[in-house]
Amino acid sequence: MHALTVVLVAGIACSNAWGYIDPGTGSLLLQLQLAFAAGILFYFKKIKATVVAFFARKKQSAGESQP
Amino acid sequence: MKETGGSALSLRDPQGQLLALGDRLFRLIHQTATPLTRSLLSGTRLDTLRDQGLLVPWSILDADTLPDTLWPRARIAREETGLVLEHPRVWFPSYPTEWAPEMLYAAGKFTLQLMRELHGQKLWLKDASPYNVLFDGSRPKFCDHLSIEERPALQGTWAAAGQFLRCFVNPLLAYRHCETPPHGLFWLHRDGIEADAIYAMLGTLRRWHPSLFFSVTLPTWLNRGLNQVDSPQLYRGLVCNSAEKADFVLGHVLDRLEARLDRLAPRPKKPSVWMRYMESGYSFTDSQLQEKEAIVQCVLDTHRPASVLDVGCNTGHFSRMAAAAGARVVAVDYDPQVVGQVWRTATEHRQDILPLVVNFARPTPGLGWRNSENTPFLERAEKKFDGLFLLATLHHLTITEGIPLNEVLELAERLVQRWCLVEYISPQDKAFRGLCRGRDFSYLTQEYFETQARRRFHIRSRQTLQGSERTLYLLEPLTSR
Repeated sequence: MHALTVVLVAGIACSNAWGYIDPGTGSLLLQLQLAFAAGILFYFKKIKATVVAFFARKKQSAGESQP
Repeated sequence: MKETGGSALSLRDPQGQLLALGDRLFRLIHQTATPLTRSLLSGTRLDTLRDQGLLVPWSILDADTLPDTLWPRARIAREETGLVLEHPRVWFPSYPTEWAPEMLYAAGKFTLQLMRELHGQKLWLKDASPYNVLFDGSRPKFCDHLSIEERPALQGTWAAAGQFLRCFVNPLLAYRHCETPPHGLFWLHRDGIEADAIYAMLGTLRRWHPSLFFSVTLPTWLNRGLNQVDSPQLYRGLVCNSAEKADFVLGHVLDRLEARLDRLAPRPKKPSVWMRYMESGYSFTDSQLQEKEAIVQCVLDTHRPASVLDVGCNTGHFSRMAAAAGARVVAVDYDPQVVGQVWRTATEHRQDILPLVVNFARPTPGLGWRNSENTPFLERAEKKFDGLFLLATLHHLTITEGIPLNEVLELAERLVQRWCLVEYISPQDKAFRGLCRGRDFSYLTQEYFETQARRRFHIRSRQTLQGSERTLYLLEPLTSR
């Protein structure tokens, strides 16, 4: 969450560059945003897998209950 | 290598150091890193990678058996050394300062491939430097075993992703959009270039180009906003709440990096001035080229060289003939486009050719700390080759570069064990005259060439191509083995 805060702050802050700032932090922030988005995607995939598994179980149990 | 004592080849990693002693390579590992390294190398997790040829092999040695002459240059003291590895030497090491764009791309793909293999084994690379990749012919191999570490189970980002962007993606981006060959960037920037360096090379409109905005412009703007942000949280990356999520997120990050790299795969550009040299017919008629091929083939058949250096290789026509005859070939040219072409053909035909962007008149010097991290090209090449091709190149060195003929011949003698095949071009040749640009090089007569050649070589044969001003000389050093 801290990392996300930094991402948001950096996204809106803008002033002169300094020599002691890591020149790769802009790219690092974008990498973090990408990873964060992938984390959200992970939950969607989990939910999808749970739903698919639920209906698969239901279908299987319906098939087993038929004579 | 010419050293009598140990020679340090690396120094930046506090956990270990690579040292050369004669033809042997030793890696000293600090005692703090020993338990992990020993468990990795003694276990089976890396065996597959070694067996696939992805990792340079290793053997574990007892530190007490090392020669005393090794220790004076070692940064890690004998009593601090917990483990010693010995590696076989890669036949002809090369560096990103000598790679065509195609080779940098191949090294980047290889790094990601290795990272994926390690990811599956709960390991990762702690850095992503192109200097950790060596080409054995055209096959990449990973040489920094200490870069392999246990991966933090909950870490969803790759700590070395920034270095991967700097060293692989950004140089290829600069090549695609700014025509800046990557090897030149590595001469100036050891650890690659940041997005803001590319931003500075772009015009205002180009900064809004879709493929540049998210890779270059936005990171640069974000970076400018960061002078008020000083958070170590940023460098912790994304720590996930489950290992399963971390695996997924890291896999996704690697996918995105690979997609970015693939979009920058070097593709044939507008041909450089040297790309169409062979088929242009400017210097040779078809029959003269056939005659030249027959002479080269005869030399290869007679001498069966194990190794050949092709200086001024152009698109690698004669390098391929040497490789087909069983030689390991290092092919050098200063034009990165022709070197890239040689690379593509060599990998396509699986030939043992290592093409390098090297200007023979200004070969790669020692670079890095104390000029000792990268061995100079000439030191790597000294007496390394059975044979040397100097075909349609000598006049470029003597006229364009202004190198005296005796200097060129002296250097050629330094590099070979057995023979040189040199193409002499007389001042009456139109290509020769074109290079002179009005200057007088009429003293470079055939008699002058032969007089200079005899000071260092036996002239074993000379054959003039019919209807031309070109003669091929087979020279053997007076000191030949």
